[in-house]
Amino acid sequence: MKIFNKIRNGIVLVLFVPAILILHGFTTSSGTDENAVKAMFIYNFSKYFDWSDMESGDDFVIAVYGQSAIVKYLDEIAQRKTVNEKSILIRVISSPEEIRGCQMLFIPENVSRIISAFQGSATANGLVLITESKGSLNKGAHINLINVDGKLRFELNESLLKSEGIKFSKGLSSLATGNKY
Amino acid sequence: MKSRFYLIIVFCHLLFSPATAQPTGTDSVRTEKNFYELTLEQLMGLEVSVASRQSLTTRESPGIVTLITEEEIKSSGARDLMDLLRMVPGFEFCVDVEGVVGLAVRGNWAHEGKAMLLIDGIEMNENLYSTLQFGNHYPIHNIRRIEIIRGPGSAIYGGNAEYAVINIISKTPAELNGGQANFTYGRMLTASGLQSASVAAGNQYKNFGFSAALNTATAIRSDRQYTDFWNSSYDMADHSDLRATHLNIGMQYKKLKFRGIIDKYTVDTRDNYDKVLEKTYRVRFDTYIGELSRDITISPRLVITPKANLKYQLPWKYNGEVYNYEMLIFYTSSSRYTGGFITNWNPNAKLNIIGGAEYFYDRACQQADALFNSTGTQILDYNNTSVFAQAILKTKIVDITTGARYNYNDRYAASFVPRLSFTRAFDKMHFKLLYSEAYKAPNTQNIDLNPDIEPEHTTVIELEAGVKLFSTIYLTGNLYDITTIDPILYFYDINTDQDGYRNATRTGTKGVELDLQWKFHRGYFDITYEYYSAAGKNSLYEFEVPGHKESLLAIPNHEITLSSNLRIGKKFSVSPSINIQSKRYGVTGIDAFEEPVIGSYDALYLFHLTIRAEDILINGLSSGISLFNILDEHQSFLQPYKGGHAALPGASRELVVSITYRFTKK
Repeated sequence: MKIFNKIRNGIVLVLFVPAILILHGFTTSSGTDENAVKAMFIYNFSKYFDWSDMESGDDFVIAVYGQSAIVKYLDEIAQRKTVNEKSILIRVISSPEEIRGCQMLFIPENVSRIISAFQGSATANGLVLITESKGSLNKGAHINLINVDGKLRFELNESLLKSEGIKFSKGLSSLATGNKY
Repeated sequence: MKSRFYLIIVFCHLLFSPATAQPTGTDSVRTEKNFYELTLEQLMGLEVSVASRQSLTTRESPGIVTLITEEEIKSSGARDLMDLLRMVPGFEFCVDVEGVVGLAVRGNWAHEGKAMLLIDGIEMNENLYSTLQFGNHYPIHNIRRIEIIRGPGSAIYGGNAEYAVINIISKTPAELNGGQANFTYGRMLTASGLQSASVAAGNQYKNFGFSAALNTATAIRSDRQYTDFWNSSYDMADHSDLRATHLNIGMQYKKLKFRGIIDKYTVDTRDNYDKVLEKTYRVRFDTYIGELSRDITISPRLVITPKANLKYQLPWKYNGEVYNYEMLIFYTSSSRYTGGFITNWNPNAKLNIIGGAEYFYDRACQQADALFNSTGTQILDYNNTSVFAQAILKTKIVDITTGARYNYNDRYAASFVPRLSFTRAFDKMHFKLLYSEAYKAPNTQNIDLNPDIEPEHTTVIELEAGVKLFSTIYLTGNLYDITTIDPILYFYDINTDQDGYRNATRTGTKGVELDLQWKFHRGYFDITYEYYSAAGKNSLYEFEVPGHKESLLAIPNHEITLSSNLRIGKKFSVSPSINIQSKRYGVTGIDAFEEPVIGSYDALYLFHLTIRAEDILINGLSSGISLFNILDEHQSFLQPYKGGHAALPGASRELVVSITYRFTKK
């Protein structure tokens, strides 16, 4: 009898607890995966910059600092797309000195502390630095992704881009939510 | 009992009631055709959901994979690694000898070198018997994520990865970016349980990063009575201490990396091999490891990483400190010197090639007055060389992974283990077909007790399919078939009083695993079911259950787990979890002819609940309270072979309180 009670209780718990959750109307957030959209933002940003200085045989390299879920989406984009007819290569890096040869760098929020360490290196290498953490434009990021009411927006550090001689289209400025002049 | 049960139901009802209205968004637009054509303006019009990291990595990898994230570890309230692994489909725990508990995978006893544990890429298995020891061992407070391959990994990871690979990844210096401290206290029904303290700190500067994590913990296996088959008994509350100290240091300068690990673990035991001993003995496992590696970037598409590793261990050490003749002295060291390299090459966006070579020299040394059987000296050593390669080719139809490892050892026969897999992930479903061969390398003790021992070989075929039922609900199921040939078995001949290892005939299992994951705005809900059968697969007397060919000793055929987490407001979360195991078979006694008597043990119903609060009083200060084994089930660890050891009781109901402070450097 004890075993019967336990089985019954187990079944009730396993089946009815989810049922209770459903009855209470757990409507789920069903938007597009944020990392997938961020990856597409990064790819689209590349269209607004002038990469004419790149040598002809090189790949277009997008670096990501540390392991991040966004890498998978960037890989998917790399298989489908090109930038200026160049193949896209996604590189996961773990130190500032690995950015040599990269055109864009994305630093995820969980390692945002590292942003300032790239400040000088990014300038020297003509790199576009993209982040997703509050206040990172003040630490040397060129573009910062932000979530505004469930939709992605971006802030642009125009003054830094201009001071570093990185050429970009005005169209990018017009789409930015916040500009730092 | 009944009222208590329904209280839980009502509690869940009340608990989940307030969290009803969550934001809704548009249907997923990330289809093959249109998503990748969206412009920046169009992307800005999309509603986004928080990403499910789990589904991202597990759906596409060429293996059957479970991923446990830092958030899941924290919300679960888990006391140690064993609590986390118990919720992984196909993972069970059984008793070996001397109070040590080991891992079983998909019905197969995987204790001696058949499951590999890596901490930050460093192998933690001890090198004499190749075991891992569970229960208040391997800290969990500084983990970023755990990647678990619930299948063979020998083609890449070698001779201790025959059935599974558990890969623990600690927080990097940049992720730590400051420090944290944790204190935990647990109380079982009649004795103190877990008491632990851990600290971690780390920071990343421009070219230099460091991290250090120290954990020290004391617990007991159980507060119940252990009774052997001759009706001798002892109270485990005072004689089953499990003590662990673990230090993990990581340093990085530019591309040069160093990792150092010190792991010291002790098990107090009176149950020994079978009969209750008169006194309590302390078995020690000491491990010291240092590893140096450097990434050499030949080109953006080609990186070579050479590494050197030194490992010194004193496993299963009992040096006679409590001296009488009940328990034999075992005091043997093992040193392993490893050198090798891994090459990672991406010739183009659709092809990835990994290749490498590894050499190690093992040297075991008797520290007490004993000699190795095989050499007649105090030294036993051998050389081992491996080469391996793996290629992943992404095509429009399917992703193909193929690879192999060749292993040569100067003490036993060579092994060659290939693998081949086909995987494909669509937006709403995925498929995997995996064929893998694997091997268990004979360890030092195998070689010493039988110089003619050969590697055992396993073939595994796995088929997995997953479907997205709704935008945040994903159902995954897999079938597997495991066949192990020439399994290495321990034997003891009572007539000659001789023991040793031999290659037996064949064992294995086949089964199914299901996993339903529901990730919503305020938490997650994950339910798994697993079933294995040994019918037609196992021919070993040592593991079999007479009259039940589908079952193997000690390991339940059916298991259901439920993990869940619900965030309430910004600061609170509640995490109920359930683990239900079907009836198990085990040795229940010894008959007049010294033969084991097989009986059954009741099904287990383990319910746990954790409530957490974040940022209480000050930012970074969090606290949790957990109740484990709420129904106070008499859980026990059974021996998965006919070794004469009675069921080893586990913990009673345990109340655990923890407090964590995390500070971030600005």
